[in-house]
Amino acid sequence: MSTINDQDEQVLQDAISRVRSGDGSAFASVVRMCQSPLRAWLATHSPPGIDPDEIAQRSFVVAYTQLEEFELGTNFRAWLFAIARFQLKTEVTRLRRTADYHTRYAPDLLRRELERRCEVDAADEPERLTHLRKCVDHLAEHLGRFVTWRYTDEITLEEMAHRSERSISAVKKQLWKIRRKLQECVEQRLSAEGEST
Amino acid sequence: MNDRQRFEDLWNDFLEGEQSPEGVTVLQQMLQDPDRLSQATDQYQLHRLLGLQGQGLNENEDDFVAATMDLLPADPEQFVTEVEATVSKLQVRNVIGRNKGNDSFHRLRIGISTFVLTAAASLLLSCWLYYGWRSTTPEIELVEFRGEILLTGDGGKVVEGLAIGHRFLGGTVESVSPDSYCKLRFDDKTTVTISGRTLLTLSQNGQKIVRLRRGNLSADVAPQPIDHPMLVFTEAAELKVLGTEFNVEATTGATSLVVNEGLVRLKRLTDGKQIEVPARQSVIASLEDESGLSPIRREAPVTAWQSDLNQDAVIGKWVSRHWMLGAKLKKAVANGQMTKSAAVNAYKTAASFDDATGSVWAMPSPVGSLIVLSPRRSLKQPVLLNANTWVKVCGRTFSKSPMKIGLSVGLPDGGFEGKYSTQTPGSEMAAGEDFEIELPIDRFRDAKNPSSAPTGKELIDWWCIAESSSAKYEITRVEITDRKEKAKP
Repeated sequence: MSTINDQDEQVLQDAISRVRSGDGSAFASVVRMCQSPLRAWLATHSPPGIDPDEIAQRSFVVAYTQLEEFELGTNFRAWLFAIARFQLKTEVTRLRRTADYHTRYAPDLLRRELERRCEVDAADEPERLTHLRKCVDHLAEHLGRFVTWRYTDEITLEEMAHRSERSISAVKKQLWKIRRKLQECVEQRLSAEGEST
Repeated sequence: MNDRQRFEDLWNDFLEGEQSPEGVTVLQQMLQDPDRLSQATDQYQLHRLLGLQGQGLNENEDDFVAATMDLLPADPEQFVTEVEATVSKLQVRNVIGRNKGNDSFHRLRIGISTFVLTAAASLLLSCWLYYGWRSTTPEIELVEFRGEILLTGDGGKVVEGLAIGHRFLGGTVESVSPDSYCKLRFDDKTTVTISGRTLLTLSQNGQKIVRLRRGNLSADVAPQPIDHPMLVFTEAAELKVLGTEFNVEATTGATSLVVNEGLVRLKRLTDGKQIEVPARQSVIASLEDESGLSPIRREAPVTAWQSDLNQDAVIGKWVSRHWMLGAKLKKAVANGQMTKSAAVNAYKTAASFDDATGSVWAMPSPVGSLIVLSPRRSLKQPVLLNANTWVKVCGRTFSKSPMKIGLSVGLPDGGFEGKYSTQTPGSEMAAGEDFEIELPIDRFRDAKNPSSAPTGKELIDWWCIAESSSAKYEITRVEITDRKEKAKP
């Protein structure tokens, strides 16, 4: 589970107390403090065909309506992630019932593997996201531009091929390598962090 | 290409949304290898994380927080109850404080007076708070409707005996049959019209949020606050609207958006890709297709249309001739009328035929047996109806249930206009036989407004409904022709 500093935790618990005392608008602070890790976790654990932001919003709404059940002083994020995990599972089950889901959206084994990771992965996405940002920043310029083109500018593979004077197939291969490199970088940083703590 | 390269290639295609159904099948086999599965999932997760980061997770934080806060349930009743309780306590304390030391009779009288006073004050306060709160809370008004419309309004209550002028804070509206529609108006004059079989949830707690579960929606949106645009959610897309006029059709897995005026920002939910759709352009966001997402300029209207049943069917089951032949041959083999090898040969021979031919079979629904076709699915141009328009319908019916054939039409370059229909008596149909009906456009009428006509309007969809939900019929062809156009040399 990721750690947030004591001061943030105090602000979060205070906001929850205010909501429970009837100040519904204080829930905006709760959403603001938890949205980034939750959305990141959901984005990486939702199979194709599911909108992670919708599940995140649904989870916040459930948390708000059941806030009386939350025990103040305990880990709110863990509680919220448990709700999100359940919401995601429900949505995956609904989607899986779509007759041609697997041929339309995703191989069944990917869905199962994501479900498995949902159960075992800690909600460490803030660190993962922070490390990913750092890893992207450390990419060589000729590699970093591919990440910007594909994920920020969202230009087509054809345009990327044109800009880099390569074939589309070579661009795809390049993206595969970059993602693998970034994955290794993030894992290394996470394990180094684990050892240091 | 070796196995590893092939796998990487296929997985790349998958991540880019370019996979074919065959590709998914091959991948499914390749992913049996646990190492590959782990590698593929890592790539998928990193791809999603990069996408999230690339789209500015922190930059759109405010939008996300605002949209989430708008989804939180409001609880005015609890609020009123709490205030009532607090005020009651204060009143009791004041009255008792003023009468300290009085005799028991007086105390009793004071007790009763206190009770009456408290009850009256609470009642007045509740009314004032409730109606005051309602009068300051923007409402939605039902301004027009036809056919069966169901409304589940405030507090989840189903509204019985719906009437024009009904006002509510938010809820779910369902247009049940293909010939029904309703128009709703927000306090800022924004109008939303749903038609045909449509299910819509709407709210406006500081920001208009509309969730189109299925069906057709036309909206004419008054200028919205920049930080609180109107949001329209469908299964496949999210639309942000600041003030414009547009039409949306949501089906399972796809959303089609046509912008008539202004600008709408569309986000495809499968991959988060966003696009701005300007006036007179359209775009389709699909869960199946993650490739291109670019708006298409609206083309000049045509006056003729011939159905492509496989693509156009919104409601109804498409059955290809080839499939029908297979079913017949199977039956013949089972009945001993044909040998298995002769059936296989006949099937193989037929397989070379064009498999695009077939028919659409009616589906049972609570309002009857139903088929709905949308020309917008197969035709890029809008279909304009004029005084010389004829509608030709071919099919086969297996019952003598009367049928209603109808057209949903929209204003050129605008939103929804109305529903026009004509009745075909069951007696004109011979059960089990093919039929061909040709109808001039003036046969199509709006029963509620007989003076209006569909001419000069654009066809949104064609529909046919048999009164009995068990009535079996198939449509093999629908054609719109312009007789004058046709007569030209």
